Amino acid sequence: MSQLNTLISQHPLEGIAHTGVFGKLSKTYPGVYFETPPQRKIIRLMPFREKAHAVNLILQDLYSMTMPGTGKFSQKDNLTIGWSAKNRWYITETPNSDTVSFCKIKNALSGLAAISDASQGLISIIIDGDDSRALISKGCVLNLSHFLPGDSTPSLMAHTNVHIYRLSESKFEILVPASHVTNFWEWLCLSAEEFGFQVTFLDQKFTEITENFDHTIPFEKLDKAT
Amino acid sequence: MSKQPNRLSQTVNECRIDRTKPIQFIFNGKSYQGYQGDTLASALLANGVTLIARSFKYHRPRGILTADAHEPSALVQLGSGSKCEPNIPATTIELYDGLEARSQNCWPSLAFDVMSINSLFSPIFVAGFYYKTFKWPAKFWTNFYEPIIRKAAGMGELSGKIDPDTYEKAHDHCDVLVIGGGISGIMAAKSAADSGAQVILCDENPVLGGQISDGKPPLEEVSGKGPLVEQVETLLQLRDMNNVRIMPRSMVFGWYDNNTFGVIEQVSDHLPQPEKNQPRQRMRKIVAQQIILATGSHERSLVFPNNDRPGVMLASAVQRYIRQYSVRPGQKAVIFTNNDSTKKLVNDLNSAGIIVSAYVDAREDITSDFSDIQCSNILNGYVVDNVHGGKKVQAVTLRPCNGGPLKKIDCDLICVSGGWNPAVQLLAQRGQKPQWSENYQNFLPQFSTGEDFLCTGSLAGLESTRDCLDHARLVGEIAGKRISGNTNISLEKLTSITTTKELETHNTGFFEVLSDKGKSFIDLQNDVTRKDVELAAREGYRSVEHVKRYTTLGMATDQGKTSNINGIATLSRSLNKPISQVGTTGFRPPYRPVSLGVLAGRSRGKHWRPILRTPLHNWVYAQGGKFIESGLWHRSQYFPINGETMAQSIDREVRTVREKVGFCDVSTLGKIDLQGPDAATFLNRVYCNGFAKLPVGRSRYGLMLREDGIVFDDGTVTRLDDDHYFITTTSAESCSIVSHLEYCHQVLWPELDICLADVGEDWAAIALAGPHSRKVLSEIVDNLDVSNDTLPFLKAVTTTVLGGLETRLFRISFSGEMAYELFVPSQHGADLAKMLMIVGEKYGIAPYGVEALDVLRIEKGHVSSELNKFTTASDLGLGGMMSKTKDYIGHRLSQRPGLIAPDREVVVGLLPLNPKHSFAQGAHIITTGTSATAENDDGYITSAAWSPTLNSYIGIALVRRGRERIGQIVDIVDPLNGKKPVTAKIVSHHFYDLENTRVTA
Repeated sequence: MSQLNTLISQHPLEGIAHTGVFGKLSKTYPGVYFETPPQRKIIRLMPFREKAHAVNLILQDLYSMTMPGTGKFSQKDNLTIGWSAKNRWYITETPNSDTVSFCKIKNALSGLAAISDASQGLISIIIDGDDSRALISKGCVLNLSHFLPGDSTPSLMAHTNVHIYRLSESKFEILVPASHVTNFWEWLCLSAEEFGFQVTFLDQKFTEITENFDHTIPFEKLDKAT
Repeated sequence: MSKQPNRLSQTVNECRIDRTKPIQFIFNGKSYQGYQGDTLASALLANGVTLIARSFKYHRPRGILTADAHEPSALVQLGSGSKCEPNIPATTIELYDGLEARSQNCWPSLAFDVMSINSLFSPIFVAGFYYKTFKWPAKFWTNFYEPIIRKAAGMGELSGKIDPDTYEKAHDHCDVLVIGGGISGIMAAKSAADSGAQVILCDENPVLGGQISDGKPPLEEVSGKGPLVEQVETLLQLRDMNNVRIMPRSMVFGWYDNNTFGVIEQVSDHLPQPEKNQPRQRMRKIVAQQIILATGSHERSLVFPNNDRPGVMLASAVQRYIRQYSVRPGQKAVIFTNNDSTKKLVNDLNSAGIIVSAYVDAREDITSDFSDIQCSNILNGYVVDNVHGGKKVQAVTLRPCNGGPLKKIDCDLICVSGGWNPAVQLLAQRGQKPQWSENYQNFLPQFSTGEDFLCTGSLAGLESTRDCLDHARLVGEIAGKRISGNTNISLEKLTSITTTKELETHNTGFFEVLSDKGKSFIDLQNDVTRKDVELAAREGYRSVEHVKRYTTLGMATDQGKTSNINGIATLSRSLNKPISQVGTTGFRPPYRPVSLGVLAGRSRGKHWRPILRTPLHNWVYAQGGKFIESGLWHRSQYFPINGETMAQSIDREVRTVREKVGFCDVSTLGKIDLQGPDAATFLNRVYCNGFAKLPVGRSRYGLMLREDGIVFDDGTVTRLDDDHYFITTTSAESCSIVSHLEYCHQVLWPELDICLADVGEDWAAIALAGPHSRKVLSEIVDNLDVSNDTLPFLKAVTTTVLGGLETRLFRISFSGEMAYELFVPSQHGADLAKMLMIVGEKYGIAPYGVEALDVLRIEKGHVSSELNKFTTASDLGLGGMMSKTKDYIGHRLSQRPGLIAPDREVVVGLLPLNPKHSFAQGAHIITTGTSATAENDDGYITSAAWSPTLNSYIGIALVRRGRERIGQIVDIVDPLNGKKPVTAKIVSHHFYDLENTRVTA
């Protein structure tokens, strides 16, 4: 049966997240911006013992990048390689790009590293804005004075194991486990109400599905900003 | 509406109030006016209202004692409806338009309280009376005494409605946290900030500055350039510094490990309504490198007869009401003191138009100069022998300490000062034992300095403004240097200041007037008198901690801030023991009461804990499936159709699986990816059965033990490739197993070359089960032979379904039927479910939930809830899985005599003789004919269900020597739920398909 073309992978935030501007607006613009990027490829890379150097040589050859040091991530074009835990990195590719192929990297690193596909299990949410730090500080104990642009860390936020990249002074990317993301999103929105927040979906296809989705998950309605 | 008869005409120096913004408020149903900046207490005093509440036990009239947050008497009920809140000190309530407050603990009114009759029974209601009374007859306690006491007890009342406000939390970090925004705190903060450190300055008041609140120094400083005027400028500079955060209305309530502080910020309590989307309060956790404690000190009262009457106030409070709020608390005042801090009060009283009828200093031999006091009646060596008046002070009687005639003086205000107590509570929370200073006559911090903290100001014992400022400046510098990494800092100068000042000080230890002319209160909030403490000492209580609990001294919301020292002094006299030996009680967080709402923050209602959703969650909801909480997960419980009850739905689902085909969302299973050359070795060590020879493309059940030999978890391991394994665990233990495996990998065997990853989120999992499952499977797989020859039981393949969707397909069964587990990328889980419904329709497919899943596995005899942290592999009937040829975690300790004893409770099945007789999980097993006692207890039911397959109730139980008793008749008893015993036969716990023919078909 050839039905793959008719399959629609269901984003966990379908029917939950809504575009728009919500909450209290101070200074006439939202204090926080949420973006939900289209689902990207995320590959979990864990080198075997004493194979890190060999892995780096191959990554350099494939992508002109190597695994960054502890607590860091590096970006080049569509690709991000970020440290995520002891002996573990995430290779992330922006959507509609074909640089990273799971099979290709698995074959290239065969015998050198454990490779697994984390694309479906981690949901990316980008937080930006004047009040992004205050928002993150609500749920996360991270000292943002010492967590600088270019840094990467696992942490706990709103009782959820997340991974955080600091992209700039005010911009963060949070990777949230799929099973938690609905709960996390609700917490994020309620916590951002006092700053005012704007939600944007970066995937047109996602937006279409959201708008056409005809069943609602019980969730407190957020007041549209007036 | 009254027109504030006690509000002074505008003075140069009032600093808290804004007369251009009048505010209307209601107290006890009557309207009054105040000004923005007023507290409820200052506004009531301005309106001539001095009777505020009734006391806890004796319902005595009470007024305002302090101007501080630890006010013990003027507690009111604030707000109405769902925002009603009891026991709020009037001194902390910032006035806003429309504020409503009322007295509490009085009926029918504040002026006439029926319960004031309690005073007549005060000889009975002494300390500890409830240990000595209400004992006879015993049966009266539950139905008579207790309800009455409960009704009478307590202060204020809760609304019983849901709190409509929101509360937030936040985390903050800084280099230097300065606690206390008085003059010392401001100076220390500035000094630390000048070094470049990131500084947070917290104060519980809306306006910082202490004596210089909001930039206006007291009268005597206006014309000069004294130290307080300097502090005004310092505060302004602080506000402009980028590395300083000032947090007013922020009370530090607790000092926790790793220099983490709990702080409550009043975000909108002072507003009539929070702004839209604005929280009411915020709890901050602040982590600091260095801490400067400038928490100041609290003035204490003196103990004398009827010292609780409305109109008896702390001298410093009177001073603040005059200076900061332009309020005249009375018309004719008497000052009663034992120290020099009250001298300046005389000028304040005079400037406010209050007649100073007498200045009474209890010290007999003093060298103080009273020439600067503008009072014609200075009485040294006198004490207050009694206070006259009921709802208001009307006069005092004075008595010379050494005997002599009494003097009665008319007054309506008594300004009392018994000395100052450094606020050592936060230090005590960290285990310090405050030390008594004979020179200061108060308790000082045991240690004023530490590697990461410094005390300054009056907390360190300093009494003069100049000393406080000099010391604070130095403290700030030291903190700043420590942040810069300078560890070689001498504290000698710092300690020499405090040591020298202490040696120069000789305060008088006078705490109480010994007179029997009325009640002499020590703890106003709990109505504890001097005689209560004396009684406790007579009854044998020696420890100050015991006296506290016996008398309830210091156990109210002010936590003894106004009463501790006086109580200790009375105990010291009663025990004939110096105060330094009596010591003081300990202190625990919170420093002041905090609302439960702010502690909960967002974790309330639906969000009290995270809800985890499987990839099929939305699909289940769309199907009308019901959810059940399983840990944090919401799992599909059953799928009712056509108005079915739960029982009917479960029965149908079970029969569907047994007779046709069904599928269940098992995405909550733990899933771990294990790769590496040593993966097989690792598995062999963590599981009690062998995995070294598991072929590629095969699955195997695995039993994992704890180190102590008890069963940890059961799951499956599938070998996907030579060095690649896929582990599944039970849903409940998935996190524990991941942690355990990481511990084994990182700590026990770091030499093993493996990589572990929790991939639970990456895969959706569906169990497809039933006689037609193969047919359904064959219609969704892409080019795969799913016959029994190619895909036998425990076979595993990586394939695709639905035209290219990557799938891991394992032939595993938990239900006892031919079954498969399909793992697809998680965001396609719902797709798979939809297609199974379409494809399987002609085979009668239906989804089933965890209820049916449980019935199926009980029928089959698979253990699940039997893994209860007490059972061994042998208990579970799985002893055969324990390898005899390899070592593994739990191997040694599983052989302990207690774990292999022959009389252990082991897994068996139970069939009631009458199939329709039900029994519940948790019911106990006894031999038929014996009584249901602990001695006769032979075990308990671990799983129970109605089996539509067997048309009977069935159960699995842990029964002592169970396997030896197969065929025996026993009784299942459930005395806790009052159920009649059920007679049942002990059978094998495998009720269905004992030969596994259906599973391997």
